[in-house]
Amino acid sequence: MRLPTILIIITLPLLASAQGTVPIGGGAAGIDDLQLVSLSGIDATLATVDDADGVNPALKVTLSKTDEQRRLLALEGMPAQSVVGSKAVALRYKLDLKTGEGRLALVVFDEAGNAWYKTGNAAPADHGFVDGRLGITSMNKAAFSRTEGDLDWDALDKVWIGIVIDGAAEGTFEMSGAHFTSEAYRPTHPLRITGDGAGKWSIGKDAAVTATLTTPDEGRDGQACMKLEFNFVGGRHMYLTPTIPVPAAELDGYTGLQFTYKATLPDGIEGLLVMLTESGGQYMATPMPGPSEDWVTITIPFADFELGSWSKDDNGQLDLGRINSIIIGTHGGATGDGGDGLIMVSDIEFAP
Amino acid sequence: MSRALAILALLLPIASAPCATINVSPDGPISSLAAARDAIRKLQPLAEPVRVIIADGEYALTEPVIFGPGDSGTPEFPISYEAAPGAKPVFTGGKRITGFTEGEAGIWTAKVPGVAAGDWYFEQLWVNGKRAVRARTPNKHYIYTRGKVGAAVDPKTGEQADLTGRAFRALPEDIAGVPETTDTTLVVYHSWEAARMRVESIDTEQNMVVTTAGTPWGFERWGPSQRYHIENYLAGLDAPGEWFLSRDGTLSYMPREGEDMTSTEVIAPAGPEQFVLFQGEPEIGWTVENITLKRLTFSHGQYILPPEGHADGQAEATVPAVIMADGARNIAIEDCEISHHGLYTIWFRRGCQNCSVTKTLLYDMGAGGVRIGEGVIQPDLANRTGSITVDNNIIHSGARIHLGAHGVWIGHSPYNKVTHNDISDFYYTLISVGWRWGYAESLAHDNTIDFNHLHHTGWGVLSDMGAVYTLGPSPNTTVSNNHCHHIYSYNRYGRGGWGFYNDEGSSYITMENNLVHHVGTGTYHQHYGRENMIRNNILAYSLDGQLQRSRIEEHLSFTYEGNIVLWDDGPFKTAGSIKDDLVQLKRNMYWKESGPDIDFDGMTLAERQEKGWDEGSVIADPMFVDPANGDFRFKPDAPYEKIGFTPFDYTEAGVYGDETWVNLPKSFVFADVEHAPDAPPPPPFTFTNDFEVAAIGSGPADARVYTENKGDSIAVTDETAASGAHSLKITDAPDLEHEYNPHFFWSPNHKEGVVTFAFDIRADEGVVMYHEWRDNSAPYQTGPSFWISGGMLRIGGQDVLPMPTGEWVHFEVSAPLGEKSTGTWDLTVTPADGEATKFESQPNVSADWKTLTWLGFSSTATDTRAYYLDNLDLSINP
Repeated sequence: MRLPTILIIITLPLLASAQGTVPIGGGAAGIDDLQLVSLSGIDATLATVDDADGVNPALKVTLSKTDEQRRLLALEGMPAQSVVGSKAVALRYKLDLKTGEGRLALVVFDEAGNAWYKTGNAAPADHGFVDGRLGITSMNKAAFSRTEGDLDWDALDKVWIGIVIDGAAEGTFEMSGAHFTSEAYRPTHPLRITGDGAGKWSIGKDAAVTATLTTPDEGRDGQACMKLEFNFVGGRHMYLTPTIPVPAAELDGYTGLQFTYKATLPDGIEGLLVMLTESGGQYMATPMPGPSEDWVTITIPFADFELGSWSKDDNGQLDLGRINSIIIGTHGGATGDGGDGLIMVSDIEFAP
Repeated sequence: MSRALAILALLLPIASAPCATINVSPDGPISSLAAARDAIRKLQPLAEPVRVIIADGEYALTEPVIFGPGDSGTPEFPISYEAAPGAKPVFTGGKRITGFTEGEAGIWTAKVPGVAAGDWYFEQLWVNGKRAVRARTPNKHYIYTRGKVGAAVDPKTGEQADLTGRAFRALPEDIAGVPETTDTTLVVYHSWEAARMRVESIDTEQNMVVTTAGTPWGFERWGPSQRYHIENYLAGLDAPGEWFLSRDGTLSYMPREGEDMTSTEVIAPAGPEQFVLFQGEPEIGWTVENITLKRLTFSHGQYILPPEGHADGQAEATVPAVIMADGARNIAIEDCEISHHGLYTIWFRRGCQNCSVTKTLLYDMGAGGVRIGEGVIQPDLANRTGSITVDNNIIHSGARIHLGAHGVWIGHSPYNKVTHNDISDFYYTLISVGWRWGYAESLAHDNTIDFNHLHHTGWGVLSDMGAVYTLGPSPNTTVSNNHCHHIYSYNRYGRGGWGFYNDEGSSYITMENNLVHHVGTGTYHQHYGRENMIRNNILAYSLDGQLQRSRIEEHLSFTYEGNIVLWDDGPFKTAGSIKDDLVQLKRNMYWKESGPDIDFDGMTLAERQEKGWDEGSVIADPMFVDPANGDFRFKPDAPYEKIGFTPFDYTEAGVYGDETWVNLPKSFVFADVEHAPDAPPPPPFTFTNDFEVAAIGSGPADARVYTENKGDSIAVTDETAASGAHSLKITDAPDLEHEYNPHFFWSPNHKEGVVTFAFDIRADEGVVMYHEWRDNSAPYQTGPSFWISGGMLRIGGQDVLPMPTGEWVHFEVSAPLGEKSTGTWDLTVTPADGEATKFESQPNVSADWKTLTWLGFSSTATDTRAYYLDNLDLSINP
């Protein structure tokens, strides 16, 4: 059973933090006194390892999860100092799963019981201890929260850090450092959406469009790509929206959408319809990337995505944490009798 | 004693069944669901199951009760919130209103101070447990729009605007005395939906009504004389059971027979719209789990129509539910009663798995019963919903505010079981499965829709419905052992009330061992779909045809095998075609009570069988005991074995369990359907259109347009114009199902005077088209008619004038109507810069043609051809 929050607060040593960092738990490493949260669906035990990474002590969670459903594993703590001004949570951790996949997760609560959360990108498995960060400047408010506004960090009540696990899993999660930091999260590598192949595409279209979507190895360097051959009839507006899902991902610090394409379009069609879809609305790249007979790589800053006039979004702004799919297609009214078109896309990434 | 100690004192260990018990009572230390929930939070993490025992009484709901992940039980230690044995705790958002005094004209009034103070308002009222009717006109059926409004001055802004979706013309007497206030509500009936719209303005000089916002279906989309009624104004309070609430706090009500307003219970909603919310976060695997609501009653939910009104494309898809779950696992609603509210009732929406609704009574619902999943495919698997059980429930009297709502709706969600429910008294489809128009990916697979009793829906109000309605591919879905009857639609716009309705893209669904009878337009209809199996069903007594297959595709539509089909009179087919190899009818037993001369799509059964269709089918009396009165048991020696039919017990459909529960739906009383009288004919109208202000790609204003989306189109273009920059382009295409497509027409509704229609036309090479004037009799009568084909103008089958290819030519057609009809019409054809050629006194195609209700153009080429129209001008001289 975890300790009552009040006890944690009382027993946390008030250590001076390194410049710009605040330990989440006790001790300089911020892991002392972190408690395993009892959550459904995962059997877990918590132990302390003296020199887990060869030098520093660590907390070690041994876990077993039998169902396929996504589950949260969390350790609870409460910083002894104010975290106002922090921009990220920095963790040093090691995830060793024989099966299943994990992503870093952060949940913070205010004194009224409202909660906000953030998840990271897929955690590297079997890589020893690594540093991971979760930006906290744009967190998702939990549905049950009853407050209208964002989190008041002065009212922080408790912090959960841990991992979100997909699939049946067995293994260990170790943590040797846990801090809030004022250093903003800066990704260093692109976040790839298409993986090793062309990605899993689905297609939406006007009923009058004929279209064939394949994923041949016909990319610029022979890699897999999405290949969309289509025909627009002339004289009326038509649309074609091939869609690729975006897994839950930490996009803080990324600056834009990058992909490689070539496209020939029917006369009268201005360019590519590139959209980021979030749970609240659809955001369209403006201006539209033009057709190109040769392969080109384009990076579209997030700032160039505007809410579609047909779409509604509660807050009217692109929420990176809520992007769930990317559309790279086209629309418009072809002139004359219309004509054939071809769109090929590969190597979709979010650019740091 | 402190509150904490009081809570601890209530945790009573039970030696024989280890669990913690929390007692809730209206006057105890824990007197609400929320307080019980909070008490359980202090026990987390749980070390034993928790039972919240709720005493008899009334519990006020002032806000939704929210269960988050932290309120979860575990598989080992679940949490139940349940009524004490023999108790019926009622959680209500209602407030009693008293102090009625009798006034004039049988109207009683009461003062509601909270409303007068501006702190409260309500749009629902229940009198003696029965939903009262917001004062409306007319009290029964409808009044009708009298024309569209296009560009006009928006009363909101004072600026010229396109009001097509927000405004319509009305008869002066229909809007006389109707208050010009946003409290005045219009209920506008479309085909399979109805919109509720607030009035922005009423212009009695132009007879124009403008609403605060548009609807997805606009006005008169399906044709002229669209139905609507007006609600919520004092002058409309003129029938027993009607009520009106003034903003000054005066509540007026006209009692029904037998109601004594000095003792009658009058309840208005004063609490929340929603009762209980389960709110997990499936995205991070943080779900709310293992909670049961058992033997609880929830009632009297608030609903206030938004300032922009409410309208949905289909299924009232954006209406939430009073009990709503996201990110939920193992949530059970068991033996509860939920009623008197303005929304859907239960919705397992996003990221819900393994939840259930069982033996629960849902009734008097603003929208529908149970919704499962969402209308989008969630990319993140954790956000998808499935494996929901809806079993043994009574879902009755729904869609009281949102008319297009369903009894049960399944969106993109698989592995759900909807079984043994009794669903009745809606205005649209009772169970809807799937949310994909066409053949693209759908998650609505492996659903089980079995053993349900589905009856009495439509009531002649909405259209295009079925007892069970499906959309999109649904492999491994069964619709079996159901009993469906009394499905009657409004048949003017988008007609159709079918027993089972496989709509767009429905595929791989098995429907067998069902009894379907007494429906409007066919016991089975497939719009288009693939390889559905309709097998071993009893299908009886559809008023207008028994079977409909609307679209022929390049694959097997469905197999219709081993069914017994019984009806009293008329042809077998409702519409569409069954004369090809891509629909398989075989081994069926057909019986038409008025005689064995059955019309199978223009053929006899023997003729069909000569073509290899309907192999093994027979015409024979199936010998039911009393089918006209619903007794479909077989008499001894019934010949069903001739077709290999396997009898089934249709009485197994519906709810099961104790006698009181099973008998409850049998106690419901259903009146006969009272269809509305025919709509009045639309007012005559004239128009001019040079397409200059129309957007490129838009269609001809006010016309009904038919295309097949196979390369054919009718759209405004800037490629050419007789004058200005725009014209209307009609493009034909090869391989269309109907040669007459694309086509379009107006409904001018002229009966008297001399009508003239002038236009410019440019026909490219190879165009084959015609222009005609018709009436709406059956079969229709035709007046003026001419063709352009092979580069010639053709009248009465004769080529009369060469038509210059690719050049604009001016046409003027004129004909006297009604009493002035001479049986002839005149035509003047004037090429650009050419001499006019007159064709006078051409005989009408039909000698009896005298009215103009159809004015249209059709392209009948069989390959890609185009012609253009410009400068249309329809006028009339009395």
